This record gives sequence, C-alpha cells and structure tokens, in this order.
Amino acid sequence: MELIFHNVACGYGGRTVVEGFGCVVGPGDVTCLLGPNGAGKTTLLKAALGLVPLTAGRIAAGGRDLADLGRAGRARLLGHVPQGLSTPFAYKVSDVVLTGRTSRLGLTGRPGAADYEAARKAADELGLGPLMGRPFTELSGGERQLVSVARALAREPAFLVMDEPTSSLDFANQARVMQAVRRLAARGLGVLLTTHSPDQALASGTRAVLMRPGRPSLEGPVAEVLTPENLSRTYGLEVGVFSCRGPDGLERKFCRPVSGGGGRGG
Amino acid sequence: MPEHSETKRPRGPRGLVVPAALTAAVLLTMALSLSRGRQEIPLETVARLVWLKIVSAEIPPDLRQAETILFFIRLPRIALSFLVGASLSVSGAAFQALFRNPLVAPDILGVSGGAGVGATLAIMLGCGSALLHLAAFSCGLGAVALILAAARLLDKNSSLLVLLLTGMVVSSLFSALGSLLKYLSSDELVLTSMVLWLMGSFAHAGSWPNVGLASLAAVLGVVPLLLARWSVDALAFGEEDARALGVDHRRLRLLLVVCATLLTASSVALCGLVGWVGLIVPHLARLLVGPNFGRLLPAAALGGGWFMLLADFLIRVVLPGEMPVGVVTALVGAPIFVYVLGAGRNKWS
Repeated sequence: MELIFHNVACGYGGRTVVEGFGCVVGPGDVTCLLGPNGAGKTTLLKAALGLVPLTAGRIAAGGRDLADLGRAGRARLLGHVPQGLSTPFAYKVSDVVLTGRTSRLGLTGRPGAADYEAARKAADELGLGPLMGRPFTELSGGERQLVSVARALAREPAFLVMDEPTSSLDFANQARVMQAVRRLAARGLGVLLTTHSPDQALASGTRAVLMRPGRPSLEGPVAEVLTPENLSRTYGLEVGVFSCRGPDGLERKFCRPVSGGGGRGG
Repeated sequence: MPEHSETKRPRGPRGLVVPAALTAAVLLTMALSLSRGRQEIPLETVARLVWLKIVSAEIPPDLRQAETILFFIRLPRIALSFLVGASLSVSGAAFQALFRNPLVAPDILGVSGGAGVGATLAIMLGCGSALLHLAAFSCGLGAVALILAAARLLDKNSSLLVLLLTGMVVSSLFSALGSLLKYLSSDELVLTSMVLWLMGSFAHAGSWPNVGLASLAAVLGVVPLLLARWSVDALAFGEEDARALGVDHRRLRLLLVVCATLLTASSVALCGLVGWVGLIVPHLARLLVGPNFGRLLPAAALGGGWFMLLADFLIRVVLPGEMPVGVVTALVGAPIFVYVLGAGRNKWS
C-alpha cells in the first residue's frame, strides 16, 4: 500500500501554508520532509492525520481517499508519533502504549485480549520490557520517544507519521530512535517524518522531499534530492555533501555548510 | 531478544485492595456516625435495627424512638453526605481529565459558582425542588460553556493556561453575580437562609427524597464516565493527539462536561457550595491507584464519599453547633492540599 499526496494544499484559517505538494510513501520507505522553518512540514503531517483540512488536492492510501476513511479508519492506517508526547498524569508506560489502540475501541469500548497483545508486541519491538511498569512522566526524553513510537505501532498501522522524532534528544538517543525507525521500515512499514537535519535524511532516509516556500517541492530518492545545489538553494546558504568510508567498510554521507557564515549559494 | 514486557489486564486481587479498603472505611464511618449524635445509640442497637429493617421485621416498642432517629434523621443525612462527596469528587476527576490539569476543580472553574447562582435565583423566585435543580444544572453548564467559548476566542488551541485563566474569570464573575443576587434580595429572612445555604449544609437537606435525587444524579453522571473510561485515558496527551488516535473528541468532551456538571450541580442544588472535595480527593485517589480513569473513578467516588462522611461526623458530633460543611472542608482541605502538592509534585510537574 502506498500513501500518496496528490497536489495537496492546506493551511490554517484561510491562510494557505502548503500548495501543490506531492509525494509518495511506499512500504519500506523512510521519507524525510525537509525545509526551512515555516515551510509547512508539520502542517502537512497534520493534514495527513486529518487535523488540518485540505484546501485542494487529495491524500490517498491503497487507492482510497483518507477523507472517506473516517476518524478511526485513518487512525488505524497512520501511526502518529507527535512531537514530544507529554501528559501531566503519571500513567504507566504499559498504559501509554495501550492508548495506541483507542481507534479500535470506540467511545465506550474497552480493550480486549487482542489489544493487550498488540500493545505487548509493539513494546517488545522497541525493547521497552524493563520500562513497562514505570511512570511515563519519570522517563528520559529518549525513552519517552521510544514509548511514543511503540504507542503508534500498537495500532498496527501501515504507515508511521513522525513529527521531528529526534528533536530535543541527545546524540545517542537520536541514533537509537533512528535505528528503530530504519528497522521498522525494513519490516515493511512506510515512514513519513519531518526533520531539520539533512544529515539525518542522508543517514536514514530512502526518499526526501525538500519543501521550499513559494516554490514547488522537490521529491525523490535521497541521493538525487539532497544534492549540494538543492540544499544550498533551499536553505539559502552554501552546503557541501561529503561521503567517507567508515571502519565497517560502509559509505556514509553527511553535509555541512561550507560558506564562512551567511553566504548565499547557487 | 528484548525482555518480554508485561501488559496484563488490570484485574485481579491487587486492583481491588484500595476499593475494598475504602468501602470498609466508608461502612465503618457510617456505622459510627449512625450511633453517635445528640442522643447516643449503641452500635449493637444500630446493628439490630438495621437487621430488623433488612428482614422487614416488627420493630419492638422500646426501639421505636431510636428507629426514628436512625432512619429518618441520621441515615438520610449520612447517605446524602456520602453521595454529595462522591459526586463532587468524581466531578473533579472528570474536569481534571478534560482540562488535563490536576489543579482544576468544579469550584475553581466556576461551575459550582454558576450552579450556586442558578439555585439562588430559584430560591429568590420561590421555585420548587425540580426547578431549583434545573436552574443549578443549566447555570453550571452555562459556566462551562462560557469558559470553553472564551478560551477558544482567546486562543485557538485552547491551551491549559488560557482555560484555567478563563475559568478563574468565570468563577469570579459568578461569585459577583451571587453577591448581586444577595444584595437585591430585600427579605432579611430569605437572605439569611440563602447565605447559610450557600456555605453548604446537610442539616436541612437530609431527607429521603433528596437522597433519591442525589442517587439519580450520581448514577446519571457516573455511569457514562465509567463507560467512556478508556477514551478518557486517551485524552491525557492532548486534544490533537486524541484526535490523531481516532477519539471522537467532540462527543467525549460533551460527555465529560455534561456528566461532571450534572454531578456538581445536583450537589450544589441539594447542599449548597462545598469546596475542596473535587480538588483534593481525586489527587489523593491518583496517588493511591494511579491516573487510569477506570481505576481512578471508584477510588475517587469512595474517597470523596468517605471524606464528606468524616466532615459531617465532625460537624454533627465533635464540633459545637452546626458549622457550615463548606467551612469544614476548606479548613481540613487546605492543609491536605499543601501536602498533596508536595507528594505529587514529581509526578506531574
């Protein structure tokens, strides 16, 4: 099943933030949405989740318009990992993961054996076993983010929709979360995520979308989209893309600004 | 292999310890409260009379007077205080879940104040019990609607801070309206009874018809909340997140608002303004059983009922005269709340 954005326009209260946006997320893809602040990355994710109305175009999965699926149907298809999941109440981690099943319960339903089983499997998938009995509010940022991913997985979605999954995480936790994302994609999940780091897209992405305010977005395989020219034009400073071979013999790519400061590229 | 995680159903004996202990405490306090008062009735006599009532046997003539005191004066008052305490506490738990804020309560949000204004108006106009209830409920609902509308107007995302601030504004608005009504009331006698009633009292409300009304409101308010308990848990991470989880948030919010307001309004209509219960008891219950709404509700209901039984026991037996119950709950509640703030701080700051 593919998640297809076709000529999508959306925004808040009459103000259009994104226009003419198109991209495809297939099984196994890690599609990274990149772009400067205000380019509409988060707005686009919210549009997919049905939190922001479309003003034009359509978003479809498996040949069906998401708008026709209804709230619960859409929630079962798209596992949402919000930016910084938080709550004032000290729910246990196991309870937090279980709330991922809500779309299958209805307003007055209660979880059954299948729901507990799905939550358990999702938690195991991310290695949360030792954390299950701990209060969510006492976890570190990295642990919370893994719980949030497990919660999205608990609904057994076809796609993961993640809003800046590594923002405010330390270096090791960023790596841990992105490793989990790659593993889930390898298992057949389609992942759509926003990020401020082109390095992250170069390291973990299969496809990239560069959103450029006022210009059509660029979409394609990471190697084709995240070129020095495209990155320089999008972010308005000169960017170089480098690659080197690590001790394990694998080639890794990364990028850096290469102008002495605020120089404009391209 | 990752260690296997435990996601079991929250059933079994461990989950029942707290409700069972609270039920025992409630029954014990009730028995003690039944036996003590202006005229002491030994616990054996209380037990014997209750048994005779249960098997509907003939009451011996020497126990007739005790029977009247027990079943027509003390028991309805005690039952009512339990129901009101349970209702206010559940209402507080529901509002705290709705606003995702452990610091809100029906009295802080102005729901109690709104219901109080409705009831005061009904008293001034000389309305009967049914109209008084309706007035209290609709004014309480009006207060919540005002909070939600004002918050939405100020901030599209209805952030917690804005909700809380508009709640305080609405609360003081209704308190001013209440003062205005008192000022406008020309009859000294009506004014005195209004002021005393607003301070909260079970002294005159303790009758079987009132117990019936309070039970009806409690069932109507609590049962839908219990049914929707799993959806309420999904609300804990924010409205937008709940929508992305597939929760019908509009219906859920409506359900929470209507049930919680009904519970508060019926309490206010019967016994006046009794503060603090809806704020501190859900807190204490959360410290005991955790935040899961399905486990929190029974603990909050039993705990709130018990708290009110103790407050009423203090008023009837320990303290001189007939102090307003709102005064007692505030005097007892304020220090407890300070303690709870310290105990729960690391959990929700």
